Amino acid sequence: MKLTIIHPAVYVLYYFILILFAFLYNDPYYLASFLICISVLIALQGISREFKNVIKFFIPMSILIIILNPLTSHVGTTPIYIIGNFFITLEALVYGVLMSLSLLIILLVFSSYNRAVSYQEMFYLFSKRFPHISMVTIMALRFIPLLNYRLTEVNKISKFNRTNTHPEGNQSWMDKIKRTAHLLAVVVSWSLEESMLTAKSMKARGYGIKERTSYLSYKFRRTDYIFLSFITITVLISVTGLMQGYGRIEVYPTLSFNVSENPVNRYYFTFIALLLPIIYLEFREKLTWY
Amino acid sequence: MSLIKFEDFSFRYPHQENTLSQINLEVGEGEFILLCGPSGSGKTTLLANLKNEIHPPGDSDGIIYYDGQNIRDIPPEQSASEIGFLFQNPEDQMVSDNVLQEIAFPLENMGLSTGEIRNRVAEMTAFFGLDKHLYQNVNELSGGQKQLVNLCSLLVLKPRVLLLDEPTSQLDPIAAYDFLSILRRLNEEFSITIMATEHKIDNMFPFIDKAIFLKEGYVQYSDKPRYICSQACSDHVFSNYLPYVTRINFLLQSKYAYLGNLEIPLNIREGRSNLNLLNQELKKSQTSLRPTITRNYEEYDKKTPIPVDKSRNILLSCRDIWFGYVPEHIVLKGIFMDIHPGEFLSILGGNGTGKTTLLQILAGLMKPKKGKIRYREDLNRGYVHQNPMIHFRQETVQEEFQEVSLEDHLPTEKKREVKLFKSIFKSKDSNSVTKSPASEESFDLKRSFHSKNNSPLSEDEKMELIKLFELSSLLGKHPYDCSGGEQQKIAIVKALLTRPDILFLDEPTKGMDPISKLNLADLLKKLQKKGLTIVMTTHDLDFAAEYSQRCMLIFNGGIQVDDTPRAVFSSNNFYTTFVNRMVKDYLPQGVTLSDVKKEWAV
Repeated sequence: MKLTIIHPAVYVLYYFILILFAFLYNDPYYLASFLICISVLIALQGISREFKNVIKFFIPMSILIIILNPLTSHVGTTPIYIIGNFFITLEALVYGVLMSLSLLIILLVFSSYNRAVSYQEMFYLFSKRFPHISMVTIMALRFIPLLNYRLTEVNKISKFNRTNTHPEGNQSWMDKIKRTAHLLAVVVSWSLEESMLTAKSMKARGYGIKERTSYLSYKFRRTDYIFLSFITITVLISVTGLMQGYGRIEVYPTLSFNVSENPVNRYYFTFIALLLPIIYLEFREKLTWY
Repeated sequence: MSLIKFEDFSFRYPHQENTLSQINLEVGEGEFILLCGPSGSGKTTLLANLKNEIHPPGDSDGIIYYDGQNIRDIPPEQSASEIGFLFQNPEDQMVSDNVLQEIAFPLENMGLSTGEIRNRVAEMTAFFGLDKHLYQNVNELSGGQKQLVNLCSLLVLKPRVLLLDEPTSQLDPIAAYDFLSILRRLNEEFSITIMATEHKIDNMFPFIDKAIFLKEGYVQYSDKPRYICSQACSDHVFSNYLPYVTRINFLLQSKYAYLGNLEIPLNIREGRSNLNLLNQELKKSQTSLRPTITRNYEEYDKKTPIPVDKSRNILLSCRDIWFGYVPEHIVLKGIFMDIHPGEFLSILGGNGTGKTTLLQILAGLMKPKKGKIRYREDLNRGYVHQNPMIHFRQETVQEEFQEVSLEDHLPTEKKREVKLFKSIFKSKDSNSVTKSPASEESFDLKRSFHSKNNSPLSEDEKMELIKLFELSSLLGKHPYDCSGGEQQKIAIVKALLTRPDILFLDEPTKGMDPISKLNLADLLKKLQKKGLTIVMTTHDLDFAAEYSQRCMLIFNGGIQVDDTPRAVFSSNNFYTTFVNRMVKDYLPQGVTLSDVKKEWAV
């Protein structure tokens, strides 16, 4: 979202609640609508490479869960199949499916959070409590690409030396390990040497004289207050619904789920409403550009 | 009252001789001072002593005054904000991963409020035009931009003095020139006192207030630029530091006394006007600066002392090389070239045109995405990276050299066979090894000795090489403790220990002072006489023009020009040597000082 700024604390709270609900809710209808809403949100935020990676990562994992859970968990009363000594129960299968659904939803929520909140905003939230950690993290983010570059260069040189002196040699396993160890030794000592200069540069610019402040500043605006009040209301209603049993189904010991049962009631609608605010904001912004 | 005053200041590192002796200097407010000297003369130590946070540990005599106060007594906030120090390497000074954070870093350290920080950063970016780079990742910036961000990061603190330790040595000429013009602007428009160390002073000399030449810790010369030229031109060390324009002027002055009446030129404009006036004067006596006989340079270039054997086999041949790190940006588009034995080839081009990439592909470090390279049979290659520190992994220089002849050279299983073999045949000579009959035991050894003509260098040859490069005093030191020029030499010797037929050097003269450059050029010439082919990339046009026989200009992914330095530079108007720029009107084919000396018989 480019035209609306939301305070990072509000984002953090909202996404935290979403993750919590992804754990708590169990009903396939709820989970399915959750999934649809999140996918819509991600589509509006822009499908990126990390998102594709998440999906690629998830699919084998979900298949694994769906297969493993019935094989390992034999609790349940409706058998479907017999393998060896034990049954494959319907309950275990359904539980596996629901679990992987939850997992997918959580991964997608994380991915969406990544797009919404940059790491600087995160630092802003935590820098007051943990100023040193944010400094260290910033430096780490700076040095990782640098170390990567150095490692690539040293690798090139090492391969060059090897092919130049004995091209036909087969590297035994020990030799390969020795070579990698040498590579890392060079990179580490080189980086340590250069980082002394970084330390000097930091000192020369006054690091450590006083307590550090931050250049980031985020204020609470009207949108944030509306957002917060909206979240509070919908969460309260959804939680009361959850306590009354809407949104969870019993899987163990017996599946008590009726496909034709109508889940639609006011708790369902509040739950959907909880999922909508950011979608609404993104959508509204997209309209302004067209 | 002067802003900075050195009063009889001497300094020595623990357990060592005096690095600085009896320095007496005064720097007024708003002056632009240049410090020069061979490496090891104490320039960096001098500057570092002015900054309390990084002043080197050691014993000192005498006092340094800053604004009337002893510099060691000033409060830390004043020291941090009023005195700014810029280091040589743009990469190492950066602490954060985006530009905005980097510029705001010192302000955060000072504990300023968020509003104040944002004000100052806004002002800085507006002045330097960094708006579009503000949220960029620092890895994506070029060297010149990085150094600029570093400078901004110092300037947000509103310093009164800027100390710069070789700020442009790691930058290409264009970026260096931009950086220097910003320094000049800061000095002229804001009266910031600047003290800078540099080796290439051609660009800086015209606008400095005072130049100080240091040698072995003593101030040798200290004066305004014009006066210091006449003092230093006879000094055999410092005459190499003077701008080319001034040196040509003095060379001519030794022959034509008329030039003594004119002002000493510091930039090309003054130099050329002096030449014009001299020419007019000479016309009165029927002579002219223009040579009467146009020398046939084609012939002259062909009679170079090192014969290039074009008839023999080509060492390396490239056919249609294409390369890119990412598909969106192809760096090399269709390179065709050959390298002949005995050549000294230099690859030139602007920043980011792919010189290092091409060199690494030629040396075989990377494979081209498309196209083929063919090497001559048994071609032995040596490669020295831009940053010589990448080659070092032992504790002392001695061990570095030993490692090359033993470990990398033979795989471990074969070492035992070598010992066995040697004890049987009692000979270290590779020729007798290949002639002996192969036995049933595994003798890939024979193949490895025969296929490459590289028996490890004998101890004598190694010592000779070390003496040639003057590294005998460094054998016990850790490689990281040596200066940049020495590291470069160590890396070159390491590459030479494998008996290469062709040596690839990536920017060997980066950050070197003029004397070391002369030394290096000498060494390279000696190696060339022994038959080594040298390929180097460089930004240093004067070095390439003086010592290489063939220059290639890379442009737009391909080789634009491939000819002798004379042909390349004399036809260019902008991308050419300082000498050529000055004497263009009179000696269109003059590209180096030696050309000038020959033509005008000085």
